[in-house]
Amino acid sequence: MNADGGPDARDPVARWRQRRARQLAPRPGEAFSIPYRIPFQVGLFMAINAIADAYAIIDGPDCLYRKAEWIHGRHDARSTLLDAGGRHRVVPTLVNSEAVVTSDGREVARRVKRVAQLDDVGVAVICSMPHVTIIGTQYDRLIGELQPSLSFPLLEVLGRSLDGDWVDGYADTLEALAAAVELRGRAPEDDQVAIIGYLMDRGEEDHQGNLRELARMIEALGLRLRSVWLSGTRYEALAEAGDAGTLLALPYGRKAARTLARRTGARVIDIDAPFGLQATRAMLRALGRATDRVEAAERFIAREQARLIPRLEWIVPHYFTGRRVAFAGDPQMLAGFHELATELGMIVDFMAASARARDELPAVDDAHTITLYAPPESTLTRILADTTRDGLELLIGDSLAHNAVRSTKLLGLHFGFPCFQRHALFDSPFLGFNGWMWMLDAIANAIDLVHQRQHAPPER
Amino acid sequence: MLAEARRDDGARVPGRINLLGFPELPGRDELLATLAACGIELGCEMFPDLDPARLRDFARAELLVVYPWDRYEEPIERLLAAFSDIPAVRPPAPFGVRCSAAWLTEVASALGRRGALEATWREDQVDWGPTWEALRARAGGYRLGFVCDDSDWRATLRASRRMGVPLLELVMELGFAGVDVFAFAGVRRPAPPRDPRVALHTFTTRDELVEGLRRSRAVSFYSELYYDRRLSRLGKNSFSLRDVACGPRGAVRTLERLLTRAQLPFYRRYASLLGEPFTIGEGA
Repeated sequence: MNADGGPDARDPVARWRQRRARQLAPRPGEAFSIPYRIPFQVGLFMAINAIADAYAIIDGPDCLYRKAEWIHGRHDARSTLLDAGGRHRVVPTLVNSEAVVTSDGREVARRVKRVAQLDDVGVAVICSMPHVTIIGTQYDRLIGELQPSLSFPLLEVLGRSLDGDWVDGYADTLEALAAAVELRGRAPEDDQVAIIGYLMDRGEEDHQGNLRELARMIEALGLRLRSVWLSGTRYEALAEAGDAGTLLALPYGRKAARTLARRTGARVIDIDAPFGLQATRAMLRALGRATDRVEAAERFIAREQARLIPRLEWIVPHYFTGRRVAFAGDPQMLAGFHELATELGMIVDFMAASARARDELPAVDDAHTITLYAPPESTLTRILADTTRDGLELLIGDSLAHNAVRSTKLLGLHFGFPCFQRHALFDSPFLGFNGWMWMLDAIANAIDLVHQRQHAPPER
Repeated sequence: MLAEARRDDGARVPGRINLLGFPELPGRDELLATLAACGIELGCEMFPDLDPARLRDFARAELLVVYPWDRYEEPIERLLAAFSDIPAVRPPAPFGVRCSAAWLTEVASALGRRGALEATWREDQVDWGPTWEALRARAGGYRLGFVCDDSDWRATLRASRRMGVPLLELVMELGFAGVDVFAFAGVRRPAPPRDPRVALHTFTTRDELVEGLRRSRAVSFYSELYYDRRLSRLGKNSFSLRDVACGPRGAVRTLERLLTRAQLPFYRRYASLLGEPFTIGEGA
């Protein structure tokens, strides 16, 4: 950098990066298009979906069902968020913009009482849509009045649809749960581990595979994975985290883990999502250090690498090296994806996150790759078109990013949330060692389609 | 064929060229597009491909452009003799920015269109120039390498024996820090390199070569083998002619690909997990 903070005029890499950043930045006309950012309520619904007996009572209109349908029936083929018999786990008050002026919380109380008539409610969460949030309904007072008559905890998650996104919706729900979960009779044990902040966006075999892989890795160190927040269990099972002497805090569970640790005395270890080899090794080493199992961690890492890495010897130069890819999706996956791709020689043209940047997420260290956080969708469309023209071959990302693709030349691997086009019917983890190999298998097969298209005879 | 080529021996078409021996390499279309922007068009091409339908136009070209590759030397010489009334040029193969400029300049100058070419070049350079400079700056951190089983390593690497690609000179122009050449010294002593950035290492046994490669700071070696375990299992990457493209934009792509292969950390990190570079008794 030079004295005025700009890139050094003599440094061609800095100049190139500045030029590239200018090309990728939103243009004036694009700034007002829909952002590539998933709404707050969807994150909250994702958390509700991942607790089998949880309900969300939302002070807002019936369009909330449409948001629930991002998950139910589209992204998650195992979702129980909505119900054909009408016992939906998303319960809107149906307050529209006209009725909101006279809204005083009575509709919320009515919905809570209706939910309370069901026999399998583990927990219920109250939240509001922004046009209701601004009238300042005191949900905490309402909860105070209703709670004594309820057999389940009733929690508030502040509506942050205006300043937050889906990651906040998920993380805030975890934090509310951490403050409320019943921990009486629980005592942390040294060899018990809980993972807090796991983003369980669906109940399909990709996430079930992740949960099995996480348990396998932790058990390889002689520890027991007692609880994963969230993992599709019933609410009462979340209390098992109170038995864990070690809480592994993933980025979206950092606050929840600390809230829980204050109540139980457990130690908290911050980890990144174990997506890719480096983050997986880092997680095991951190856990090994914290539990005095460093040698066991190193032995396991060596064994797993010896098992998996020889499979890649000839795939690397002929499938991965030099391939130009882009990634779009969950911001906590960006650093892991970048490491995973560049270790095998892929060129990451750019990355886009479907949420805002967050301090707790690792930075991507690369002079080549520019990362955009929640850019306007029209910016994403333009960048995808430009980079495809310049040689981008494969987009790995969620359905929103794929919707922004206009060129038939660009092939895609559907991955992340939401993923409407690909479902996981068989064990297909993407975290840990086995997840690393699954991800590379999926990318190699997608690249094979790139090969086939490049070498296909011209259309007549 | 020659009779066919003579059949339509009409007037020369201004700005038309025939390419002789120039394979359809990546980047060639862009190179021809640059010429087209200066009013120079491709008429007919001969070797390695031939379009019989266009052969009758052969004699209407204003200029013959010969590509420097041994493989078609004899038939091209016969062709030049048969069409000695058409001027011919033999520019260096257009790999790297310098040779691409030289190739284009020689062709355009021979047709009196140098001014147009220079304007087109300047205009294009605005687009690819910054990326070229940025990539070159990054390439300066890496050395590349060659292994030659012949003591006459210069002859082995000569462009005419590598599809016209001057590999050694190209690598240096791309901005890499230097080149390690490993040459077999069993029969004759290899000649020392002229360029101080090229380091010559000799070997007479497999073990000497393995030890030399292990010690070498070069991170990526030239190899046309699809699965070259002799490199991968010693922690070295490889590059080949498949990574090379012609023209200035092709030079950028070549640099990008060679740099990507140089930077690839996989084999450096995990070579010890991949097995032995040579099987027992092989090449001992």
